[in-house]
Amino acid sequence: MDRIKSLFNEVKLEMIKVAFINTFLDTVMMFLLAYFVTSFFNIKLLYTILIPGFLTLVFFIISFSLTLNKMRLKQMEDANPQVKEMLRTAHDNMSQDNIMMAALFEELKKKMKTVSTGNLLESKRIIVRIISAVVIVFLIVFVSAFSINLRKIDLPFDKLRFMIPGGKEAYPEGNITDLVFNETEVMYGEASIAKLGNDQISLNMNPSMSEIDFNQVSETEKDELREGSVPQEIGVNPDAFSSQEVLDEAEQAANYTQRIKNI
Amino acid sequence: MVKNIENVRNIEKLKETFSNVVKEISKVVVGQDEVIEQVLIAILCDSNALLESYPGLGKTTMVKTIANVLDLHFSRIQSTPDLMPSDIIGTYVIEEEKGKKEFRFQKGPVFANVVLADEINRATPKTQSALLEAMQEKQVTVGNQTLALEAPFFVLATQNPIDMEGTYPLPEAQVDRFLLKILVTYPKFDDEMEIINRFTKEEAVPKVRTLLSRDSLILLQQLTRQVPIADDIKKRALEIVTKTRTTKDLIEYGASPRASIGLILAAKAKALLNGRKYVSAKDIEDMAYPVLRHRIILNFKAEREGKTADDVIRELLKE
Repeated sequence: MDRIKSLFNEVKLEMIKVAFINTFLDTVMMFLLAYFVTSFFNIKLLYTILIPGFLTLVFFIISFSLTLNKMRLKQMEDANPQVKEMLRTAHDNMSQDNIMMAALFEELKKKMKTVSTGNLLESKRIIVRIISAVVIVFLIVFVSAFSINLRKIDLPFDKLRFMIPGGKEAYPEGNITDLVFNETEVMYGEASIAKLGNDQISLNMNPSMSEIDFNQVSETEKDELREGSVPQEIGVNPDAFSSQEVLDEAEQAANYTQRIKNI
Repeated sequence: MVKNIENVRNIEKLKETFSNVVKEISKVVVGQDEVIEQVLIAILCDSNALLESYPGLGKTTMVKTIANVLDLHFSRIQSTPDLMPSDIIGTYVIEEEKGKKEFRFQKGPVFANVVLADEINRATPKTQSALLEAMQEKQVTVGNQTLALEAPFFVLATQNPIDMEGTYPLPEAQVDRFLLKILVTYPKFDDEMEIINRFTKEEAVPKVRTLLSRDSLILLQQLTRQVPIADDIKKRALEIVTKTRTTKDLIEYGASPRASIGLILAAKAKALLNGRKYVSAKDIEDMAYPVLRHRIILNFKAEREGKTADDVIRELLKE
């Protein structure tokens, strides 16, 4: 009977939907787990997403095709025992066209309206998946927020070094550098230093440059203080002001001047 | 299409119809709903049933009432050792009409829709076998003439499990022709109280209404065969019957393929009686007892252990 065939096609479609939902949930779990694991390795952000993404895609394809292959009418029957025998009988006697089959089809049609495809979804399994997903997400956020990373863990294979941030250049032979400049990070300070990257620079310090040559010290210029002509660089910080401090500093200044004169 | 929808609606009403039939029969027969159901199943299968019970449990009354409710022509044969086949089938008698004598066939009680062969095991094997053709072929042969029996036709035979002296136990071949062996048990206390109340009044036998016509019954018999059954349930039925042949530690002789046919058919009729359009596994298990109990012969070990055919069937169903 064509009508029964079409009814079974509908049932099959519903089962495919359910299989898709189940596989999708499993895949999400798989992705989160894979992302969580890869985040422990010293891998570039792009690969941290690409590797779990690829793994989960493969997982989804295999899992979904396996589920479709395993998909039998029995699953629908087990999920809806009230129509179990009816469904099976209709399925096995599809070729018959008589009044009893017509009556069975009518009843089956009515029953199938009350039968929810949701029965096929294992609520316990879904809840476990969702809770697990939430836990993994929290773990990922926790690891990121507290900078708990095991970035010292390197990839176990040398060939995969291209995935490591900086690649081979980050680890020049014979020179282990603790500081690794990441151009993507915000740099504070002079841009010229940042541009140096990992290049070596030589800095020479000349201590004589910091000594004072008193021969070159010129006489102080006289300036008449007039009202309204106070030099701008002279100022008092009222918060730091203390009469005792002033006296101490004046004494230090007097001593210092005296020592200079004696030289 | 409209006619089809109409037919489907009528099928929806079947459960109610059968329920009314059982209620009507229950006006006379108290506390034997299961037995009534099994007799109706035998009728729907267009087959025969063997009722076994102690005397006085209302077997004859029940069959008569069923015939009345179903608008069927009922006849009764009281089996005795001197009952002759011609007493059942009929015989040629000489009739004189307009001065001319000629043989005319006088139909026997077998020419009815429902034949109650009371205490069939008291009739001689020769007489018992006279019923064989009628039961199986729905026809009788007298001399060189074969006469068809009016449809629907079925034999409901009764036998007592006690007082076996002077009886002729039915041969296996004949027992196999009965679709069901129905056990009529003693009524419960309350049911028996009701029986007393009903049958000790002024109007001893309550009147029953006819609820189904003969044509309707024939149609229902056709519908019974149309009830669909799932392959695995069919397989389960076959497994049960096959087990009766392989369980040698309890059963000496198992059931024949006729039992397999009977089991499926009886399950279909039970489904229809219950208003279902498909056979369930429970129908098969429920019908396994009446279909198989008279078709298996227990071995010495099982008999020594005091097991009945029903006990053995129960064990087979558990496996």
